[in-house]
Amino acid sequence: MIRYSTPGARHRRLAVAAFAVAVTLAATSCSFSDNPDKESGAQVLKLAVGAPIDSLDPHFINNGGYVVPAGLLEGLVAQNDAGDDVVPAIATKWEQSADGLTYTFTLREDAKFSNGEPITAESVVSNYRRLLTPTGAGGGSVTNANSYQIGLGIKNASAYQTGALTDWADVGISAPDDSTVVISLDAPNPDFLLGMTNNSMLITDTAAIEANPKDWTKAENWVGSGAFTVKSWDPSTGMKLVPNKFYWDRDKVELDEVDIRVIQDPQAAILAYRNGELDVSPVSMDLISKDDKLLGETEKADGFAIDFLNVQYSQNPAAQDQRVRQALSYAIDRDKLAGVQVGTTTSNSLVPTRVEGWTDSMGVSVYDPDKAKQLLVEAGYPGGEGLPAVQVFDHRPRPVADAIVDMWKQIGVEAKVTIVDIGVWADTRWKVLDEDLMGFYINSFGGIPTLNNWVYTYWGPDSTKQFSLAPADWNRYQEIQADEKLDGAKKSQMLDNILNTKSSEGAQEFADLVEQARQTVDPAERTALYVEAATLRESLALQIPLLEEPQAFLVDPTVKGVHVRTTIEGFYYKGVTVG
Amino acid sequence: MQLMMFLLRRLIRLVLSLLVVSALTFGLLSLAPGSFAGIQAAGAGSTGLASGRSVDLTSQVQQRFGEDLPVWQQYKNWLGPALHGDFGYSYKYPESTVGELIVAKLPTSLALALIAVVLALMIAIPMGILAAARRNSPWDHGSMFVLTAATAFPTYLAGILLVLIFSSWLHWLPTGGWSGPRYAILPIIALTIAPAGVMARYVRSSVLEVLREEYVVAAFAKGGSRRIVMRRHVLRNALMPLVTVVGPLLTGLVVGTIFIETIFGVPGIGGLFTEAAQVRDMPLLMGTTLVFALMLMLVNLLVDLSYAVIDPRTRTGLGLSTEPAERTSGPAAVEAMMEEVKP
Amino acid sequence: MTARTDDGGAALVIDRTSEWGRRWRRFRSNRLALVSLGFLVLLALLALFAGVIAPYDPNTPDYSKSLTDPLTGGNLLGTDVLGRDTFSRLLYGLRTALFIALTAELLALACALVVGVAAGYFGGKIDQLLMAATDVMYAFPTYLFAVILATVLGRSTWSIILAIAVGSWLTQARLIRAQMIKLKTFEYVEAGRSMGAGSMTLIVRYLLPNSLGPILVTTSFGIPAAMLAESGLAILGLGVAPPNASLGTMITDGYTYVLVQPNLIFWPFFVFACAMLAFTWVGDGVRDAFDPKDE
Repeated sequence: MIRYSTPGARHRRLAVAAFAVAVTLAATSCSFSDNPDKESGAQVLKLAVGAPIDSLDPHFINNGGYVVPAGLLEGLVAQNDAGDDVVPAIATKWEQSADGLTYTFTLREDAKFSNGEPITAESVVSNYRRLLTPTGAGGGSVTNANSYQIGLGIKNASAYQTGALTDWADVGISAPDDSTVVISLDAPNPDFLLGMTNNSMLITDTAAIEANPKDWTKAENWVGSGAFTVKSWDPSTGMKLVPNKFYWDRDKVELDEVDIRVIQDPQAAILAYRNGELDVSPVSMDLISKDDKLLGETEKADGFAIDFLNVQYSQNPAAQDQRVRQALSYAIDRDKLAGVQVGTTTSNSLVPTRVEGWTDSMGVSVYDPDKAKQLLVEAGYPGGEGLPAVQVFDHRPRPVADAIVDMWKQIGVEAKVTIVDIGVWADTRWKVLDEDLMGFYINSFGGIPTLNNWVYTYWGPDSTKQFSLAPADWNRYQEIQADEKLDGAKKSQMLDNILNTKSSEGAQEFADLVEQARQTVDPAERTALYVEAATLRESLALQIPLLEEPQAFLVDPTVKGVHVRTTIEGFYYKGVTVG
Repeated sequence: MQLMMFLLRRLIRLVLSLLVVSALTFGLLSLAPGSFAGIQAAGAGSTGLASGRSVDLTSQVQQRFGEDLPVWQQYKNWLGPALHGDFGYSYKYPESTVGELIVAKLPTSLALALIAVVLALMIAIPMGILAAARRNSPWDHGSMFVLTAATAFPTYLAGILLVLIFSSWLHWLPTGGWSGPRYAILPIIALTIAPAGVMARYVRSSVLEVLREEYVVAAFAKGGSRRIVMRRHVLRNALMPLVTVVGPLLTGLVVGTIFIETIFGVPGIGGLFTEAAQVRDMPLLMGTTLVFALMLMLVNLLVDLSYAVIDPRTRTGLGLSTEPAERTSGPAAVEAMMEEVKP
Repeated sequence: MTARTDDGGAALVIDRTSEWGRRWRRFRSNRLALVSLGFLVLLALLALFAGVIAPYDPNTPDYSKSLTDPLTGGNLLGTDVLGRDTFSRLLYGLRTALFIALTAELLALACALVVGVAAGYFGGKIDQLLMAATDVMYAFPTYLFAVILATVLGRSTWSIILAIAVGSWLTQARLIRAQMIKLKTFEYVEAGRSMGAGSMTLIVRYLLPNSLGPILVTTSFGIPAAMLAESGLAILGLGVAPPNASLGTMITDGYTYVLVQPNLIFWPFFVFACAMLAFTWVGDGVRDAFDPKDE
């Protein structure tokens, strides 16, 4: 049982170890992506994204939204530098009918996909048809949630998508000839053109998709319409883009390559930027709050997202008492929250302040502890007496939530933060809480800076009516939704019936105002109606605004042309120059 | 003959274990609240992805995934193709099959883990032996202090410290990325630190234990020199149990690399493993879990076999029990490590 | 009262009290183990009297000072992003971490003892099942399991304890099993059996007392392992519910601000590492104390 170790054996073992290292090194090197090109004079933009680029299919919600609109695909129109209007892209011009319901786009003749094929009106329509097909015509056998933005309001699009309508001819998208696309809407939508720049509405080549239904997003099969095309793509490490030589505006594309690195760890991204390995990196400003140099190199678009609390259903009647919810809103000192999360600003309304038409009258959600206490007295819960515990329902620890709970405690309310895993959070945030608990889930919405977007698309009439339902009605609502035996049309009708008869008066009044606003073509009148609606909605306090978050990037001073906008992708790569 | 029987029995057990793992994992997944569709529709917490999406789209997506079938039926639907090696398409990465994803990422993780284990052994064995041989000397205490601190290091903290030192301060190496061997250096070091600490402690305990065995005491009593006794008697017997540790450690490192991957941008399998559970990507979770289980079981089988070859004492045990009696963790330092390397 | 010690099979009858005295003397002679034990006692006392020692309430924010440096504004170790006193949170965090680790380890040990003894002593089906379970358990997705526990039990300290215990009992059971297999072949056990002693008697009177050393060593390693597991759960977002602190959540929270205020992660990590080290050294000492061959 006692073994002898000879010098020879020892060397053999060392040799084995060395061999193992050599073999594994060789194995690893096979998986390295190609070395960065070091051509002299070549303009390479090195940038980071914070999440794995899991898919490039724009018709489903995925992280492709961080890069695809920035350079891989283009829509009929594109955003201007400020992100508040559109400029020609695949369409050279468009006309709006007098009633605001119909848009006629004329496509440019030299619009081509990256394989040189022309982009025709038929390409555009078949693309939108794929987007709206209810079963999801997606790449793999299973796919993500559909990315169509309901707020766009294309005629019958939602109904077709939910299966309530089955004839594509009923949907308001058509191509009368090769270079004309006509889109009609349910109601006038001042955001329609900006909405057409969303990832979901960009133009893919459906012919290329049909040719490779499962592999069409792989680099070798990719056919796009944007300024760049895919050179290589690995979901977890990143991708390399090179200019699309068939792009109609090729002359304006200055970069020779875009080198996108997936860096999921925000600290690591900051360090890589600081080390000169990145030209551009998304950043959360509270992570660099004491670094004046980095703060100075931050470019941001304010009012990108609103952090808010959304009421949860509860068997306890207090959750349905507007005064209680208002009191909880008045108890939140948003200045202090903004201090906790550096880089954010206070939000007294669910509409970001940068939105055109924003007025002070909308900012009803302010800090007023006395009023909060008084409202609790009026509601019959003096000093919080008799209230159930109030929770902030979250899926990750965040200091702001701790601060809110502390502020609620200051007015005598028993409060706590409940953190669950993201799956549990998504699954249960709309569940009805028991008698002994009420609460709000915390979330963020972000998007284009228009009144229509922040009053109609987000927390719009349907959502507001839904959250004002009593628990029993809400449960009934969900039962109907889950009922597979009902056909689409019947189901929609039953659901609408509940919303229209069981929701609160305030919610219905808000819905009427929004509907009026949507039907109004005169901009000033429409703005006034939206403002009135928004002000009413804030007073319902079904949602409590907390903070405005900017879209922020660290941008190396030698990089020019990064125009940060309030969209997911942040900026277009097209006009960017390096060095 | 005995060996063949042993192998056969172990292989049957391996297949059964894999089935149990798959059924349990599937059951767990269906028990856990939350669904991939729901998480996607909720915007998975990323600002901007969410919109005022109504619930009915979610339920549609669920139907498409078959998430409304009874659990056993879903499992059956999954198991059939899986037995033929078809794990289907990932939910999260809808353009790739689970097989493709694993094949693309496993070699990198395996290579990193192998190198890290070899390096850890190269550090741990000499340091552990020296510490044991010079027990209670300043060297012993000093090195154990450093090594224990190393085991306490969360990998992400180790990673960011390495970046701060070697990239930000010294500018020797890139902060991350994956374009050449240079990019693998920091991830490997970060992966090596904790296992090196654990194994050094293990070696030290093991050597100390063997030093107390009768035959060693006897060898000393017979006037054997310290060097010779250490080399001939102690090391051989003290290091043998390491074989049992290296296997699980290696498999643990293969899938336990998520933080290294997120900090350095290494295209490994650890991220998939954790992500799949977090976003309830059923096909991906099942695939990665089974690959991990298979690796673990194969390695354990190899360990048992090699043990039987090295140590004749256990050979008799092989035929009698399905497990060599000696294949048990030695000093409890292993416990700590097992927990550390478990994903 | 008599007990038999494991000194190579020869049975010695000695007075138990003096045996414990001897163990203590042996333990004491290892100065490092003694210092470590003292350190752990100090930590335990700090944790126990956190309410008395802590200069601030650990959970009350002070928005006027966020992420301050140590020794400024009356905060010994500075403050976190909400202006909460790091030193106070460290004391309470230590309390939570120690409580979770100790309880989880005890739970795991109890479980491991029952299964390990059964498998090791009786062998057969239980033994095979235990061995087969090992592979299955290691391959299990811990994350999902912790999520389910947290869903069923609510996000409480107990669900965390249970998640850790479930993750760690198996290795310990295997350890105890090995010990049983080793001991049951010893002559005095055989002798006891031939004299007609029942299984229970043998286990309780001979096998367990003689396994005490290894079991204690396991425990002393198991506790820091449980502490590690707790911080692992915290990383996955399944740690102690806010605003309460534990060492694990303090380390993960501190990581967010590692480039802004490194003190926030340094101090909890320092205490954590020291505690792990102390447990290791105490474990060393305990093994020596129980193993007289070293003298």
